[in-house]
Amino acid sequence: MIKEKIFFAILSLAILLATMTSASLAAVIVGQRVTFDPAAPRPGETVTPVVHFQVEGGPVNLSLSYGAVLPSSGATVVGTAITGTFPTGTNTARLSRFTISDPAPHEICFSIFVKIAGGTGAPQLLIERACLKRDIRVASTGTGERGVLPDLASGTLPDLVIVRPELNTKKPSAYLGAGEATVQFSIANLGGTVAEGVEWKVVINFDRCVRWDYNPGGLDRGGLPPVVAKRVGSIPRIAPGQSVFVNVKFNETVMTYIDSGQTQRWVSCDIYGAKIVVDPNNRIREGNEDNTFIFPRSRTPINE
Amino acid sequence: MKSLILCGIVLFTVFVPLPSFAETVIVGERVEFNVPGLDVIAGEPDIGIRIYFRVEGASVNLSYMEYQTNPPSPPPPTVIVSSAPSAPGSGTFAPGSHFVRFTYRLPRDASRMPYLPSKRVCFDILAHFQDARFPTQRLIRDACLETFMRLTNGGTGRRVTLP
Repeated sequence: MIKEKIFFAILSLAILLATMTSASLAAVIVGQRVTFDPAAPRPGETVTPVVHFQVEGGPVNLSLSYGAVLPSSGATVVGTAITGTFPTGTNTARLSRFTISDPAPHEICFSIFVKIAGGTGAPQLLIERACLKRDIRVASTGTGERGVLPDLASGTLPDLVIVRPELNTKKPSAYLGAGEATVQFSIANLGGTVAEGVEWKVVINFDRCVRWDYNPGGLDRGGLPPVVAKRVGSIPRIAPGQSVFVNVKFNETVMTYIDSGQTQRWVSCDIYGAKIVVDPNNRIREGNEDNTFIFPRSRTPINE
Repeated sequence: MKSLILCGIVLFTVFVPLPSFAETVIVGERVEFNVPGLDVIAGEPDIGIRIYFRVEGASVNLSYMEYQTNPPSPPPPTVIVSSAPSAPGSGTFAPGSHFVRFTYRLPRDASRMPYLPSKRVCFDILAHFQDARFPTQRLIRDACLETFMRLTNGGTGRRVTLP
C-alpha cells in the first residue's frame, strides 16, 4: 500500500514535470499593432514598419517579416525578415525598410508574419492589415506680399508696357564665330495718348567670348572683350488698348573665322540677357526705367 | 514782431507735416486650406482655399483673383470674381481686411480615388485690377499642399503559439 502511494506520487510528479517542460518549450506571441517611422511619410520616402507584440514564455528567438499589399494593383512586396531574441513581456521590433512609391498608391496594407528563427515551420500571421492611406496636408500657408498701387493722378504710370518678351538663341556654325539671337516682344498701349514714332531699343550682350587658335604647335585659347549689339527702331501709333509686335534679329559676327593654312581660329560666346527700352516720350532712355525690361541672364551658350 | 511771425512759420513748416498722399496698398496676409480627408470625400473632391488680404489707403477695384499652381495642375485654375463679405458680388474692396474663397478640384486616379497631381503643389494668388493700368499684383507666394501617407489602421493582432 505504501509502495503504491509512493509509485503514484512519483508518477504525478513526473507528469507535472513533463507538463511544465512542454509548456516552457512553447512560446506564445500576441500581435498588438503596427506603427511607422516616420509616422506620416511622403511619396518617395522610406518608412520603417515597427511591430508591437507581447511574448509569453520567452525569451524566444524570432524571425519577423511582412507583406505589403497595394490594393489598387494587387501587387505584394515581401519585406526581408529580421531576427532577434525577445524576452517575455511587451516588445517592439523594427522591420526592414519600405519605400513609398512616387506617385503614392492610395493605400498600402501591411501584414506581419512571425516564426521561430531558424525553424522550418511556415511563418504565421501575427498582425493583419495595418494600412497607410494617401492623404493631403498643408505644407506651407504661403508668404504674403505687399503691393503699392501706382498713383494714377501723378502720372508716374507708364502708358506703354512691354509684353511677353522672349529671347531665343540659335547655335551658329562652329566656324562662323557668330551668334544669332532673336528678341520678340509686344508693346502695349494701356490707354494713354502715345505719339507716333515711339522708339524702342534692344541691347544684347554677346559676352564671355573665347577665341581658339589651332596652331601646328597646339591650341592657344584666350578671352575676348564682350560684344554689345544694339538695335533701334520705331513703332507706328498704337491705339489705346492695342499693342504692336516687334521682332528683332541679331546676327553678330564676333570674329571672322580665319584659316591661314597655319592657324585655324574660331570664337564662341554666351548670349546674355537682352534689355528692351521703350520710350513713350519718343526719347531713348538708358536707365532702368519703369518701361524697361531686362531678361534674366539666360546664359544660353552658343557654339560649344 | 516780424521775426516772431517768421519763426512761427518756420516752426510750423518743420513740425506740422503737410497732409501726405495716402498711397493705396494691397497686402496678402495668409491662406487657409480646407482639406477634407481624402477617404471621406463623397462628392466632388474640392479643396477650399480662403485668401485673406488687406487694403490700405483707398478702395481698390479688383476684376478677379486667380491662383496659379506650381507645377501646373491638370485641372484649370478656378477664376472667381471677388466674393468679399464687405462687398458681396462686387469687385470693390474698401480699406480693411477681406477674404475670398476658391476651390481647387482634385483629379481622380484610375481607381477613382482623388489625389494631388504632384507630391507637392504650391499656389500663388494673383489679384487683377479693373483698371488695366495697374499691374497684376501677387498677394501670396508658395502656399503649398503635399501628399503624405496616413496611418488609418494599426492592424488586427493575433495570438500565435510557436512550437
